[in-house]
Order: sequence, then structure tokens, then C-alpha cells
Amino acid sequence: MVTSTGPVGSVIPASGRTLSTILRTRLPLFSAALVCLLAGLWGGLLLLGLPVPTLVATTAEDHGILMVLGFLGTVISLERAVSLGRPWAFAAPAFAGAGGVAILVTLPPMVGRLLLCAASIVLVVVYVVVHRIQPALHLRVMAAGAVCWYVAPLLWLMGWPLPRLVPWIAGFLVLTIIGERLELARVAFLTRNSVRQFLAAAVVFGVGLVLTTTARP
Amino acid sequence: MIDPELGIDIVSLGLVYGLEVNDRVAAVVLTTTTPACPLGEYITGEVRRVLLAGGAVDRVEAVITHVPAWTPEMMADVTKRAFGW
Repeated sequence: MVTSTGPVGSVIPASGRTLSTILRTRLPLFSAALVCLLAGLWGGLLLLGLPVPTLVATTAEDHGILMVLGFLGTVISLERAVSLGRPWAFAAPAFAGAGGVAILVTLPPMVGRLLLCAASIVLVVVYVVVHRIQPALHLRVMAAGAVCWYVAPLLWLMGWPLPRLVPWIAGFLVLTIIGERLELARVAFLTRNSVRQFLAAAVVFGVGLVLTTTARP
Repeated sequence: MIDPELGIDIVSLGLVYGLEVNDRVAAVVLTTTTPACPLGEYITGEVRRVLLAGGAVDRVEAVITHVPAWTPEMMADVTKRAFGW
């Protein structure tokens, strides 16, 4: 195995980890994400008014949080942790998964919200570190998505009702996805004009998010 | 070895920075299109598997690097044309 010889983050040793090691470290995270997914889907069925049993009183109310932050937040931050390859980066999916499960099992509300908030902070730091390795617009866009994730549970901790968090929760997903699409689109010879248009749309989206928070409900 | 996201082989994409074989040991230096890509482990694992299956080497040492950073200009000309350059 060739080991690191360059500056920090420049050379990452290729996979020397055994499958069992990978499963041991990542399976619990993925399991938590899966629990959030199933609970979120169940909550969705309740929201649709289907005659399914109510297992946990707040499952329907927490449907969006469980799906976006509990499930997708865990999976997306797990992806970033795997790409960075630093043990501390796995705190993001660990906090996100634990936060989702904490909300599901109706621990004191603050617990899940704080864990989700902590997960977003670690994810932002992951993006900062990745950006230092290779600065790029798509990384800044995805990091903006992580900031949206941070705002949502922060407002929730401040007592805001869940429906008013929806723009920020959606902002996390939208900015993460368009950041990933932008990264892939680089192979197709992006023109300066197309990047300008992309930035303009992203800025309008960001301004819209802020306005949803400052506007009266 | 095909990049699972772009559907193009990793050599044409310019993701293979170097390959050296000495005493039936292959040393491969690879990159990903972004350090945020989680497929580094998968790609190095596949490179290792394919080279060992070829029978020309007994051991493969593969590393992912981001120095220099990958840019689309590193793609082969034919690949650039396929993407509309």
C-alpha cells in the first residue's frame, strides 16, 4: 500500500479496509438512515389519510424532517465522509442518523434538533476541508445547501413551527442536488454565460429562502 | 474500467495519472473528478481487481490523489468531442 506523501489531503491511500471494517463502521449509519426512511414513508401514508396504524404520534408531523434530514441528510453526509476519508467526518452522518432516530422515538424534542444541528455543522466543516483540497463552485453550492440544513433545525430549536422550516429543508436538497449536477456538467464544456446564469438562479433561490424567514407568516 | 456516473472509461476521462509496473507489482495513481466524490474506494478497488485478473501483475498499489486537481481539459480529445466540446 502506498501511503500519503503529499500535502494534507493530496494523497489518499487506496482502499485497504476490509469489507467487514467498512460494514462495521458504516452499516449502523445506514441502518439509522433506513429507519428514518421507513418512518418517513409511514408518516407520508398517514398524511395521505390512508388507514394505516399510527405507531408514533408525531410520525406524520415529522415526515419531512425524517425524510430529508434523517434519511437523505445521513446518506449525503455519509457520502461526503467517505469521500474525505477522515474519521471525524463520519460524525456528520452519525449525528444526523441519531437525530432522526431521536425524533422518531420521541426523546425530548431538543435532543433530536440539537443532533441534527450538530450534523449540519460537521457537514459544513467537511465541505470547507474538501474545498481547501480543490476549490470549486459546485462545492460552494453544496456547502450552501449544508448551511440551509443548519438553519432548519436552528429555527426549530427556536420554536418555529415545522411548516415554516420547509423552505430551508428544501434548500438543503435543492442546493446539494444542483451542486452535484454542476459538478457532472463540467465535462460538457460549461460556458461563462451558463455559469453566470446558474449563479444568478442560485442567488435568487437564496434570496427567496431568506425572504421566507423574514416575511410574516 | 468505466466511471459509474459518467459512463466513460477512466483513462479517457483523464482520471489515471500514472501507471508503473516493476517486478510484477503495479503502482497506479488515480484521481476523481472532485474530492467530494465518494467513489474513490470503488474505483481503486476495481482497478486492483481488473489488473490482478489480467494476470500480468501479482500486486497492485493504487492511490487517489488530488494534486494536480482534475479538470475537464484532461479528458481525451475524442471524449471531449463526445461531450460537445
